[in-house]
Amino acid sequence: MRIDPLGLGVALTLALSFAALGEVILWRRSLDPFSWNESFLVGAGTSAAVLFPLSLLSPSGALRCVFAALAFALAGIVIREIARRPRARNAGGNRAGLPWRRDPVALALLAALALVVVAFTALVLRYSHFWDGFQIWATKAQLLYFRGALSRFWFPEDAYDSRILEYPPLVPLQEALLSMGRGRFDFDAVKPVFLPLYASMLLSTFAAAQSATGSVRAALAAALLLALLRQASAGTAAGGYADMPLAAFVAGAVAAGLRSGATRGGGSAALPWLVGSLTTVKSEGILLAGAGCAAVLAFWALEAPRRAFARALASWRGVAVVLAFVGIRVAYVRWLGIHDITYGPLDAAHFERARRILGTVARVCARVAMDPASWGFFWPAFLVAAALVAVLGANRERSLALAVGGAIAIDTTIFLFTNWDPELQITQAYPRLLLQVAPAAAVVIATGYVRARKAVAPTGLRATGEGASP
Amino acid sequence: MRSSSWRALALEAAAVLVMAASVLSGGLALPREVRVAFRDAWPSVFPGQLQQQLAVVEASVPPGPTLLHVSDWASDPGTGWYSRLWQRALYPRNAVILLMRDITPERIAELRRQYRPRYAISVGTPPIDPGFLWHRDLGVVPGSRQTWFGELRP
Repeated sequence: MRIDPLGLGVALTLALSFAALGEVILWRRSLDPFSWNESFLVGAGTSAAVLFPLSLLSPSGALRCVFAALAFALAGIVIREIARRPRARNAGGNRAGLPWRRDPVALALLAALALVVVAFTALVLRYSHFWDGFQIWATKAQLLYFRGALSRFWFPEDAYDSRILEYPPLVPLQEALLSMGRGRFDFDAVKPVFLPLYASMLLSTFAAAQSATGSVRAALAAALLLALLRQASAGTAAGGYADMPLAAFVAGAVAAGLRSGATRGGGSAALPWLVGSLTTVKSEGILLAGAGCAAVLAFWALEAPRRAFARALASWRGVAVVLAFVGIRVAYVRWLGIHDITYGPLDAAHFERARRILGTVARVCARVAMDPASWGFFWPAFLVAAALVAVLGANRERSLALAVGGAIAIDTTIFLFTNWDPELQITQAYPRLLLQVAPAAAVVIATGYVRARKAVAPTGLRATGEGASP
Repeated sequence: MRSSSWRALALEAAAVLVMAASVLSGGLALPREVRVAFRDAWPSVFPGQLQQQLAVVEASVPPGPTLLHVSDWASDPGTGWYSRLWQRALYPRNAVILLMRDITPERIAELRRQYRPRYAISVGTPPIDPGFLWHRDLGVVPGSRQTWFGELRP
């Protein structure tokens, strides 16, 4: 195991700096770990998004600009916290308000979760990079570190790998910033950036499930269901791939959507930033951002169909934020002018091929998703839970289940237009695509369980609320 | 027992089954992977033997000159990983031009005209000679092939 105290310290400082920047962007003061987590994701996503415009303005200094902005934000927030600390202490937390601390099931779930977190940490620090982690993400970080900004440069070679240029910059940015903090670039030292993202993914999943179910036990179970997936806590997640970070942003967006419902009933200020940030992690993030927007629209339509358009207009700030992220992503891809030959184009020949391989794609995707060695009964449970939520859930939960189902459908459809052997590509890529939406699916599973439990609880229990949650 | 009780029992049983399946799959996979990682994984993305080869090249080539790296992807897909390791390891000290497909004398000549490499690394069984003035055998990295390094004829 490679334990580099400097690297771990820089990764932690970096996470705090992103959280500080998120506080500035959202112009708020977070008082609980869930809000700080939201701020962390907002700061990280926004830093990655602005990297491209900054690279145009300063072709060798964009990385330093982000580094400086993070340092200023951290300094500002530290000063703010020191100045306001006495008041916060007076407002103080109430440990007596945590009755689940005496719940043996909740404690057992928490202990199991802690074990998985230890295993993930050991794997991240022990493994060197796997293929994409090295060839794509850390290599982009290396270029970013030495060139100081995003550029059109890729290593001179056979043209195929230049397609990697258009991959979004969040993970490379974090690895390059960590290298700046350490004073040199070392492929073997950048992995600690994945630890805060992993913690964020689990925290967000817990927060989202708790908001939806009102049950700490169900929320811990949702986080544990997610953590126990090999795709989430081992394999490529520990090998430096960007799918787990994207799952962290999906979890953050879901938590922001559901937590805002639990607290204020209105839209969370962080939600559009988190939905937009999905475009900064992986190329398919733009599809997930679309699914996120669809979930919000579906929620508005379910709540008050006649007022859905008016609510969209009233939420113009959030719409503008998401559009800005998408605009930056599209502009970056167009600026590069590189065509990824993995898919398409969407011409008659490819539609004909899609028709021919439809059965293969459906069969192989189903086989991959239902593999019990990889997933347990996670996806069958999601299908059942989604149906339960559709019948028994609140509108916000129905919208979530719909968005997860839609995202999976889109992810599956993509393979109809691959230029690779579809079976080979699905086997390699589909588990990672499923991981990206797994946090949201875990929340749906927990929600479906709690809703069904309420529905089937004997009348006496229902009246006393014992059937709802621990 | 009333039907609602049966339904509640079935729900709890299903929940326990889902959680148990996850604990089983994760509980088997994670410890196995931790064992594999701590027993087999290289401590660095650059394996020790490759680092020794890199040290030889860095001692022989000053910062600046371009290198040509020749390895045949078609006959050995594993070389794709190692050729890029060379490229990334030497960046930005030296640019490394990778030639992995369609390796012909004409293609080598074209790349030499285009990038003017002074040195070359060639990997294969046996390695292809891209026009060495002199070369030395750097040995074999596990998972890769015989590696030659040398200066190219002007």
